[in-house]
Amino acid sequence: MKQIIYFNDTGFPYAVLAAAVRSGELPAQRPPERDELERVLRRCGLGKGDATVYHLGYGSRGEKCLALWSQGNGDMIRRTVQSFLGLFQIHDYELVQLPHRKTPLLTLGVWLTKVPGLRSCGLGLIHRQLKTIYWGQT
Amino acid sequence: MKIIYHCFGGTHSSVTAAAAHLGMLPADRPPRPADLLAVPFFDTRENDDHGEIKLMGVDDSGNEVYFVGQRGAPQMLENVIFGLARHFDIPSRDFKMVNVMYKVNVSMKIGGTMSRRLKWIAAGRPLVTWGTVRAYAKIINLVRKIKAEESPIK
Repeated sequence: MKQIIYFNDTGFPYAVLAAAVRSGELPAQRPPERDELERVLRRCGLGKGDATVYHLGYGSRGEKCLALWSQGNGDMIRRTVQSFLGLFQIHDYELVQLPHRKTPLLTLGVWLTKVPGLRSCGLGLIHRQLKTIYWGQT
Repeated sequence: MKIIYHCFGGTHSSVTAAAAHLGMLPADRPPRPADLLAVPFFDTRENDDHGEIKLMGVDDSGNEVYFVGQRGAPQMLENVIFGLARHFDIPSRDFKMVNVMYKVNVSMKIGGTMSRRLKWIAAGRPLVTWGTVRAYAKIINLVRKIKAEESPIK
């Protein structure tokens, strides 16, 4: 079965959101509600990304939806994924790189989620920012 | 078994380890600078090659020996590889990651930066080669350990 690997190197888990949209964990026809977004982000965290591979479920055609993200080194990650899977003759996958940047307000939102008592405020800011760029994700 | 040696740039310590593993460099003494410079890929890989897992050869036990550069982010490389292995059902016994980066000395770091990043090859290459000769004992000890682990018991 084909596997879809979403990834980005912009320091925010856009890849996780894209994989969650693909698997139906997040809606594709409208921006997610705040609690839907929080549920997905809580599972993978809001760090800058250490290239850990997350499984976000299966798409409508049974394809496995994977996601990883990092801060920088996207070209290196792309080559690692392609050459490692190539070593084992695995070609039934699609690697999708998301180009979206981490905006200053998203950065602020992520930072606020780490401050005791301001987590809700930070998530609200992230939710608001993501609503504006949500439609181009998949 | 696929043995993947990795270091910062994938062109000095990991290439040396892979070459030593395959018997392209002596096991009982440090190599001469000319021996190192004759090793394929030594001090030749570029920034655009980082992350590409490259085959160096197959050892006597049938293990495929590879090397790769990870830009000083070994954890990131291992997260990607072990994550993919988990999700693509690749058994962990089929490959081994070996970090050679911590065997590198100051001469190798400075020489490698001069040669690869700054393109001062005339000055950097002799320095990194000299540093590699000096670090060879540590590298070959690591290689011996890996070979002992991955060779069939006779």
